[in-house]
Amino acid sequence: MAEKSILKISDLTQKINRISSLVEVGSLLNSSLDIDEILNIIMKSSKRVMNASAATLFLYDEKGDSLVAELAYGNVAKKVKGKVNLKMGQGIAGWVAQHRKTIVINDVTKDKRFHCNVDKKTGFKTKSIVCAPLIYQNRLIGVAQALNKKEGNFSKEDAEIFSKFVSQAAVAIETARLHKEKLANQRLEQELTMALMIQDSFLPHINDISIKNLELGIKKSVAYNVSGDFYDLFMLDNTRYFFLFGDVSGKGIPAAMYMANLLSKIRYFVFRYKNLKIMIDKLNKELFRISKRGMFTTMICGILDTKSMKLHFINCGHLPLLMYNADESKWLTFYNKDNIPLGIDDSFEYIDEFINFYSEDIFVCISDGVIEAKDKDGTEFGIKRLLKTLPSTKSDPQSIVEKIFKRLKKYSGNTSFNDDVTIFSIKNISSPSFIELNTYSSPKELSSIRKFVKDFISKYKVSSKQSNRIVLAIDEAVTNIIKYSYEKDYSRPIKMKLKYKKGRIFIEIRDYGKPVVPENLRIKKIPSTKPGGLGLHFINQIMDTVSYEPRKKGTLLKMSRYIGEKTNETCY
Amino acid sequence: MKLAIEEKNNNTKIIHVMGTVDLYSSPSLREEIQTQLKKCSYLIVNLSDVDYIDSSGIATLVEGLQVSKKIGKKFSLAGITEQVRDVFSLARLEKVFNILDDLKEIDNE
Repeated sequence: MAEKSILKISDLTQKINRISSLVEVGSLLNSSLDIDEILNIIMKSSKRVMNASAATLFLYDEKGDSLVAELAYGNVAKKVKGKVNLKMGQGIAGWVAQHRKTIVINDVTKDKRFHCNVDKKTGFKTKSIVCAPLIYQNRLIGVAQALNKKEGNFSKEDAEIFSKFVSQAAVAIETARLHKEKLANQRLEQELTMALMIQDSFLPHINDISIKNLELGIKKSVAYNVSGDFYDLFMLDNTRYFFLFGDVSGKGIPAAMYMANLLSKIRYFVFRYKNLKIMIDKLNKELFRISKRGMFTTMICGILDTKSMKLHFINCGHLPLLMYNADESKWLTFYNKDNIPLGIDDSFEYIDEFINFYSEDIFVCISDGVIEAKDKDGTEFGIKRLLKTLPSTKSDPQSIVEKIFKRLKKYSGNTSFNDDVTIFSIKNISSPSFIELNTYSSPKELSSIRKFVKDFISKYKVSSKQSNRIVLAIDEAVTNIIKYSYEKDYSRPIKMKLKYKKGRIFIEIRDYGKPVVPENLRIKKIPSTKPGGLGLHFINQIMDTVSYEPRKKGTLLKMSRYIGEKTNETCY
Repeated sequence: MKLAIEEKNNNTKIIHVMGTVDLYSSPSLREEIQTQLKKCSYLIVNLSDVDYIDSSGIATLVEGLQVSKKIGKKFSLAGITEQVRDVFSLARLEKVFNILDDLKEIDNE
């Protein structure tokens, strides 16, 4: 009786030791998220808890539907790792994996399931074994086995303890795996963020671009980390800029990489071909050549000339260019429905357009995401709503861009859009505004010179009498150049510049003929009926200031006249 | 600029001037005035359809007036538009010419 009790006590002590080992191993397993470290702990603990000579862990390989020895603990560890593969059902571990049951075998030689190849390979002599499946959420993760109990046989109790231990190990392995996956995802996310930053660096930022006479507005919101929307603006010379705005079909990294390639190609093509139509033709052919899997590009690009106040552009299948005409206080849309996206047809001939881009005018380019933003019922935002959103009065480009974004957010009812949204806006802020005319000394040209002057003055608040007088004075000045400086040689150059600044109109007329000798300028004594000198009299009557500046060749005539503040400002 | 000649009774002729009179067009107006002055005793230059005139146009008219005086003919202007009147006033020549307000005055004469 007493002997029995002592035995029981020693059993209990052993059991308590094992349970405390299990608890210890459990907390150990939870202390790490590193899968290799966890496998190590499992093996080391298996050996100790089971009082075994060796331990092996097989992980289940779903693809090959087989078990791969991941780690062994004992004298033969190195010979096992990664070298032993068991098919499902093969050997004891294979049987356990297949039946998902824990088994105890105390003499493997008497068990048909025993697969002696492993022992042959390693030189280890397996005697007894306890083997348990690692199951997590009904999914097989692997099989663990403890080999050759150091004293006596593996008991049923050993099997119970081992199976509990192994199920803890399964959780720990799975947690570590998930963590590893999460880390990988995080790394991918970080890489995407980096990609976005790199992509972003291809696109100019407002502060990066040194622009004279232009004001910029840019904003973009990106749907899939990296966007296919792109834009660029760079100087061609002192007064001309090249701008582009477009969208590469497709999303994510491929679209972004294609876009980065495209941006550098465009810069190269622009400077190489120096002609918008030729450049687009070459670019189209190149994009056609490199285009994969149906990728194409829509784009508006062109030359902004701040001197002639003209915009020469080509719309290659993109949404319309929106233009605010400051003179008429209205928005115009320039759609070219005949042109197709780039990279689709290498023989397509693109049609270019010229429009005026005067001081205070603004143009806006938008990406598909603006038009295609949907409300809760799935109705698209559309061009009409966009045009209604655009300010009808004087505005700056950044606030126009912000206004559209704000409206879109309100419309779609959320803060992030489904598509990439990019808006790019440029305002001509060149002031004073001036225009130039290159003509020659023919009386025939006088009517077009008068029209040129009249058109310019018509932008300002000037009475028709005042306007007629200014036209007359300029006509007289040119008449004098034809008659006296060029002595009726009707084919010589005349350059004219008109500008407006603070209510005053400035006129410069340059000729390359005989110099003017101011003392010889005959100003008629009025009234007089003798011909000659009348034109000069008109000029002096009409203009506030008149000066003749001799140049190396010819003369620069400068005149100015106060005409009052600009008409259109009353509209704002 | 276009010119049309109208013959009236009493040896009177009217040159109707249409369009722009500037350095380019004034030589043909000048020639017409000189020609017609020889063919009539009273020449009227109708400027009601002139949208623009400059100093060369004014000089042409002044020359017509001078020649008419030398050869003892009568010379008048008619149909002065606002732009033309303003150019005359700039030249302070409004009072030099005999200006008819209305061509009907001739028929009444």
